[in-house]
Amino acid sequence: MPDLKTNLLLGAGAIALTQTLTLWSGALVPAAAAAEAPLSAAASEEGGEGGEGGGESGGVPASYALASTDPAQWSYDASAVIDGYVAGARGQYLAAAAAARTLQAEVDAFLEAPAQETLDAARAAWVAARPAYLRTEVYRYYDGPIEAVEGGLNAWPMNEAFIDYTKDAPQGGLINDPAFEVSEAAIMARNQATDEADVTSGWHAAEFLLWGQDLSAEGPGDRPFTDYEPGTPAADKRRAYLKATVGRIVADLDGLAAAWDANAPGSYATTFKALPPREAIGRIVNGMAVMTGHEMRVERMAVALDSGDQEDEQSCFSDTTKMDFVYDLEGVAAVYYGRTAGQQAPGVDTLMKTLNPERAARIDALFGEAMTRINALGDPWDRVLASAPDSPERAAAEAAVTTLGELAGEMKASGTDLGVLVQVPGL
Amino acid sequence: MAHGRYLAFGLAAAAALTAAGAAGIASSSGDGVRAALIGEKVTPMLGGDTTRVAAAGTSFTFLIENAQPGRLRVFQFGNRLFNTNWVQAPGSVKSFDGLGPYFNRVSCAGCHTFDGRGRPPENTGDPMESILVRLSVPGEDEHGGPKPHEIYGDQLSDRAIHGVTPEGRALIAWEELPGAYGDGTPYTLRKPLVTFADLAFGPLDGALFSVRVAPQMIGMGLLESVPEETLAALADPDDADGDGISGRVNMVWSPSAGTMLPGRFGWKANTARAIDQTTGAALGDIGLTTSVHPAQNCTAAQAACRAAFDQSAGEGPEISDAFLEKLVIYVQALAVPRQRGENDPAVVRGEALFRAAGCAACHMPTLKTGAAAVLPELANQTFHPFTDLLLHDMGPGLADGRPDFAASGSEWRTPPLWGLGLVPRVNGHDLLLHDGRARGFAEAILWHGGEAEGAKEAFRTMDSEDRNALVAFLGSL
Repeated sequence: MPDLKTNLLLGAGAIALTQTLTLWSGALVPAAAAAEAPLSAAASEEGGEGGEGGGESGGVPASYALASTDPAQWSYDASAVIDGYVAGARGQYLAAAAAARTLQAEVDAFLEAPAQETLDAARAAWVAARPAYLRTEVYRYYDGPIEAVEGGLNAWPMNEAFIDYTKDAPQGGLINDPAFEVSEAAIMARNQATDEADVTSGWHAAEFLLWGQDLSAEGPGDRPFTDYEPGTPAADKRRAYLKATVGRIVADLDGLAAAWDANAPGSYATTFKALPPREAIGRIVNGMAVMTGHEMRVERMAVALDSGDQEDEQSCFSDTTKMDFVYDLEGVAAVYYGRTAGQQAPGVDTLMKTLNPERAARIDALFGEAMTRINALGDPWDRVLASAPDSPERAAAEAAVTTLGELAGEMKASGTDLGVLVQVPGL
Repeated sequence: MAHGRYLAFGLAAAAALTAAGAAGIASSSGDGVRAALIGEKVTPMLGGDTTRVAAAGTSFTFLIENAQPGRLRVFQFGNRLFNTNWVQAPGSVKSFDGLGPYFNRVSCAGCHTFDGRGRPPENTGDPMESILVRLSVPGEDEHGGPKPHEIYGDQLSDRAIHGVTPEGRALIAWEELPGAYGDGTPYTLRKPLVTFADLAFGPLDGALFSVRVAPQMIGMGLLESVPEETLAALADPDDADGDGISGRVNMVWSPSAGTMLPGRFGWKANTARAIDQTTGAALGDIGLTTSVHPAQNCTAAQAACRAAFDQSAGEGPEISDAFLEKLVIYVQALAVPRQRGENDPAVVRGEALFRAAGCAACHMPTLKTGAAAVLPELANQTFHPFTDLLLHDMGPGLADGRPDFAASGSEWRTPPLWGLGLVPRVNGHDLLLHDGRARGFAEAILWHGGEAEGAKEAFRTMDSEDRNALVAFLGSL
């Protein structure tokens, strides 16, 4: 487990988070104040997902709470749900940071003694670290602390040739560029700076560094461990690059866990708990609805199905994209039902059962159906994308798209029950 | 061939816009339309019902707020195309190959990163990542547009696929020009000095050229949907009202519609429709053919380019019509972000100063769409782009000396001001004007001349508090 004290004292991450909260509330503050933000930092801190990971709400409305002339309307008690959400976010990020630390240890061991066995162990640790992170993705899409670092932490799609050699560019990428000196700062400064696909950092950069290009329809990428044997300029830089990238993932997740610590004065968690209840509930429901209806359903699933490009999958180097869908939805369900990181608190479901039992029942059914459909997806996902237009694999994927849309639609409509604005345009 | 579908669509849409405009405001005089639009109160919802609340690095990337059901999937696929790094044919995925032979960048987002704004290179000689050089020679093409250079064509291609030599490189150096505000505070402007290097086909002597940065992408569907009659009513080609400002509509060739239409996009309003802008950039900047531009971007003299294309060309255009349709909808449906800080006293005062200085005469605060629009969500909107979409003479300081259809060498389209305050967050710089010479709003204003000389002088002679308020207002947009 990560050391709590380290989290609290974590410098850089916490400062970045504070800055970004100011920036985000910049939707409502004078432009003069916003102009004080450092320009380059603003661009690199706030990138969305590669390809913009669009759909992010991009800012917060003046108020999530719907107006009513009846003071009794929407006067439900949400405090236990909000407390549970904050504790859940804290627990999920702690779990994600701990898993990333295991990855870091395995990467260090691999760099210490490059061999197929140690490379396999590092890859296995990457795969094992992902579920805990994926469960946290539901805490996106409002002015939460993740928005400060997401572009550097989980950006995709990525143009891997920007980082290292590929089949078509054997001497390509920053690693083979004599003018590029590897450091965390240099890596972060180039993230999505020249093109949205020019991703240099985060989970998928680490994935590419561990697996290499996925040139096979049958299995994942197969980079040789000898790429990391010290002694050549490129290998030495690759070693430093992998180490810096994984170190940054750990630091970001530590910073996020610290931001969600309700016992730390001035943390985002304390700010969140101090919000008027429906402002907090609005953020919670927007995170669930955008994650389900936009990010999973459209950005990652429908767009890939429409393009038919085998590379249109989030975790394309390791071929673990199906796992992304499963644990992302698990994260959404965990928030809705209040079951996060081994804790059980009242979830949004308890409010819905009172406010609109019929819709609550439909949401229950749709969560079950969505999980069934996602479990039924073909694996690996790139084989679904490569399948014929009328294949059963594609039909199964389209069915998942449909169900996720229905689930997100009910979440969006639940805004009228809960008295909050839910923004998922064009669903 | 599928080209015909776009022709039909183009004419229908253009006719619909014309009819709607005629029904809506035909009875108004030009002055009445102008006065009514200037008098309209500006709200923070700069894009009307389409506005998104957004104040982050992703502010320009969002789908319009009032999108109809089902729009998201198409929009997001268009986004995927916009971000695609195109590769040389034959690539592993046939639908995403066809780069070059000549190109400037391999993706739309390479220049319009996060759907935002480009910039000149940081240092002289650095590669041009989000800015390009248009070329022509004196004279006109068959539609009255710029006459392409016989060898180099209408744009300098500084990159090319394997086996083809790029046309050359442009180098931008800067000349510092000192000046002073009315209160004596000094300032320095910088003017680009452009030279060429590594020219593959010999010198560009006698060519006309113009350096252009990639503008931000927001709100294009709204601007495309403004009725032609509104533009005609706002125009005052002979300065009949004697205010010293003579906006003109640039009538330009629309390759998709196959007719002349009012120009709305581009630094000289040299493009009429989003599909023309998109397909023109696809061909000129990335080397991708479409049904609108089926021929590759090689001149007769460029044998290696022609041979490379002939060898790799498959059936049909490199961007299929199915893809193109989604890409154009994406471009039309990118939302305008909400204004920030509208209640800040400096912003409120800045808007009053903006109007008093005469800026609003060209940077028209409000425009409207009628019942017909390129997407149904964009119909019947009142919105605040701060442009009249017309050509104005901006004086010798900004002149590029390169005519473009009706635009003279010193005329430019009034650029929209919406979203400019967010460019620093989206793209990490605050560089403005067609070639990115202005470092922030104040320098951009100080470059104004010609018809805007009076407004520029009003700003230059303001005290610093007023100047800061005006800049604060622009930053809130």
